[in-house]
Amino acid sequence: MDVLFPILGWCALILCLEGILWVLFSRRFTQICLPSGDHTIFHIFTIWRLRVIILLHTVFLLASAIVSHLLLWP
Amino acid sequence: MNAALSTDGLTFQGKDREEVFQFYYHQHWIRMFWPILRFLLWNILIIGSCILMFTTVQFADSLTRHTILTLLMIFFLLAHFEFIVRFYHYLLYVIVVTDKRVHRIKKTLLTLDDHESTDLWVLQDIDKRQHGIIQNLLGFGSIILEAQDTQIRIHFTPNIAEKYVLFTRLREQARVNVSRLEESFRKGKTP
Repeated sequence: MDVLFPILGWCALILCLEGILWVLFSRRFTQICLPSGDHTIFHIFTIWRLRVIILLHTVFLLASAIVSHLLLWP
Repeated sequence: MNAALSTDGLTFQGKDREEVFQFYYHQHWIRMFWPILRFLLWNILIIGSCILMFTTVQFADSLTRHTILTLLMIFFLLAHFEFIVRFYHYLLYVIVVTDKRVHRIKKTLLTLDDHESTDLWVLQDIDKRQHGIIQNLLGFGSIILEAQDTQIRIHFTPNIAEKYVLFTRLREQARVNVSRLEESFRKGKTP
């Protein structure tokens, strides 16, 4: 049960950092607000798709924190 | 001029109402090569250490185990968030070209918010530079836009040959438009 405290701590930290970075980024990025039609491979990163990627990344980090602590902490 | 104006469904900082958007681009993906490589190496190292801790190296002392796990977690998160910040910075550096101007927009999450605009018709020279094997193989390089008293260097321009042609064509169009405007102005003035 003592593993719960570090897991919750890491999860809170991950959520806070991801959230803060996303808010900062989207504030800046919406000022640029680019259309589609770029020829570089990065044109797939629209705001909506980026949001999904960041969400998946957050889930991955949370899962990593939980799994590593459940396996290695006790 | 710095306010975000909306025309033709496209809005970006510093755009004039009469400007018509032509194209935009980010830097070449090679700019992200080293951050991606470093990110992957850190991940392999940290995940490998965790697997080793779980399978081979067993720490009997719980304090040692907890300390090592905490350190590994700190480095793991540092690697991830450092990469995310770099990726955000990459996306926040954009070159936008309209029929009148070249806008170089460079922002960071907190500290930097640059916007440099140059009129296309005042450009004297447009140079394309590709040095080295990698630049020539991957088709990127630097475009240097020179006006009378300013010079804009746009490094890591992807598809540089195509961009060079586009820049040159747009400059010629801008010059024609300006000379037409001058001519009509002169005709309007003379009785």
